[in-house]
Amino acid sequence: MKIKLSFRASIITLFIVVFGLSSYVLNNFFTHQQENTALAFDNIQFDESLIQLEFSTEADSIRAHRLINRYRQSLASIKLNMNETKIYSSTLLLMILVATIAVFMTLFNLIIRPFNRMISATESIKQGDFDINLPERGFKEILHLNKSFNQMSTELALTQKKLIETEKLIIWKEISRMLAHEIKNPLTPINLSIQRLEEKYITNQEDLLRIFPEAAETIHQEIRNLQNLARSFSDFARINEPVQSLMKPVESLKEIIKPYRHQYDISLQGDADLEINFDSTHFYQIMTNLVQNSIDACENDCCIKIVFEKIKNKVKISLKDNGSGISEDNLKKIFQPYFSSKAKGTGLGLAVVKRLIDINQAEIFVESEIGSGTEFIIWCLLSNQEE
Amino acid sequence: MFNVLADKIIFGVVSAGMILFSSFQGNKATFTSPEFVANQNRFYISTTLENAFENDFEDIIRSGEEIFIDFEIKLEKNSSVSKSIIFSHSIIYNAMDHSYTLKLEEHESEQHIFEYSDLLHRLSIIDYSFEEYVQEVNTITLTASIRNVNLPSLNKQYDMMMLWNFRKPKIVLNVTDYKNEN
Repeated sequence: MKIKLSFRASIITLFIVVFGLSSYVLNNFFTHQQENTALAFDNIQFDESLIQLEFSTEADSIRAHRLINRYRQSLASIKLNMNETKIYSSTLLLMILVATIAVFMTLFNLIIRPFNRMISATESIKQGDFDINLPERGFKEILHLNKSFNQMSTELALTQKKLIETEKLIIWKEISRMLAHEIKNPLTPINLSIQRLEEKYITNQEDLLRIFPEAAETIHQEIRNLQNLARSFSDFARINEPVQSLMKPVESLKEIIKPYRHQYDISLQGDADLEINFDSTHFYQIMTNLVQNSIDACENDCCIKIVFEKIKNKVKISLKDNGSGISEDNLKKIFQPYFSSKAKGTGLGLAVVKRLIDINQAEIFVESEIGSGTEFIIWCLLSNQEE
Repeated sequence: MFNVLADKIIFGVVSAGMILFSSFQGNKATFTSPEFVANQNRFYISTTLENAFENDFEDIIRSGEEIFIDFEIKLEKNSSVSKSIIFSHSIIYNAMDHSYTLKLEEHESEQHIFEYSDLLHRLSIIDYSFEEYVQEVNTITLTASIRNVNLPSLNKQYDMMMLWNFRKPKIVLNVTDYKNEN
């Protein structure tokens, strides 16, 4: 297993190793020198029998006795000094090592802490929180860095605010245009039908009875279209927080494709026992939208293949059709709200799908080729038990 | 309690320092498993101090200065010391006749010994009995230490406990079950 040390850990380890080794070498050198001195002293072999010699005078005898005594005390002192030095120097070295490491780590932390703050601030900015204000204190370079960072985050916050306002304006303009267009579309046939009924009422009342059912049906149909439009907008605005639970996608998919199967060639492949963590209502909405989209994209002989499989700790659900395909330009925009390439689309279907996928911590990808068809791939998390 | 903690900290720091930076081992002085008798009103302890007087001890004893080994017996009742008995063993080297004078305070005896190994043997034996009511004692703790030595010709005092790595050998006896710890 390869251990990757952080910058801080590397510096501290390096410091401890270098400091420890140099202290060890220095200590060994002085201990060695001391041992040499002790050895030299040991080599002065006093003949203990000297003390038993009979000296000519009492004074000589006392002097000899004192000399030997002094030698013995010096030898004892050297031994004790050596032991004392060994113990105290090693203890002192250890204490110096600990104190130096403590001072070093404190200083090092003073340098590293602002960088850690900077890392978490950068993370916050990455997540869209620009309300970051790093403390403007510390070493000169760090102070300068923090000031620049604060300035940058303030500018980013301002830019983001402007962008949001601009985006809101664009979206509102787009919605207004879309709504106007979508409302105008059914209004024209309604208007034409009413005009036709009025005209017949004035000119030919017999004909009025003949065309009335057809005109009434047209008006009903267009009112239903308007109601659908209103419902779509309402649904998009009303997406609920997911209530995730263990569910078998195959069960849900069988239910979804049941009404279409007699009319279209829809196949379903995969392990029936696979379970995923997903809001079942959201899953139903997503798959219904995608299946309907695929059917809408097919001109004739519609063939849809739904395959799901377990890959590592995820489940891949693929939905592939043989429809007209989506152009590269449109492919980039298909999940944007109010974008539609269909004549009667609201542009909300795939936007709803994307939002539901996101709030269920899943992922969706799309691949398409004009004339060959489109494949939607969804990656969901397996149930916890299977992870 | 704080003394015990301080002793442990000092011993820990010294040991760690020596492991890292020194080849010095010192003497790991310990008591042997004791013989312990507790009668109605009399106690008897017998044990031997081991690994206490090796390495440079002979040279230090031969300095001619009196070396004292102090022993302390603490009698405890419900975690408080009720009595403390202190006695010592001392050695003096006599250069004139190469003999050692060993004084055992607890026996009030003085012996002249010529063999160093014989000296160490007698110095290490603790054989002590004292009067006390059994019901007055829960725990008996025996510790040993070496008194500081002053070398007058060099005018310097040495902490002899460094030779034991600043660790006092200790023995704890639980009077009720005669359980001992070393």
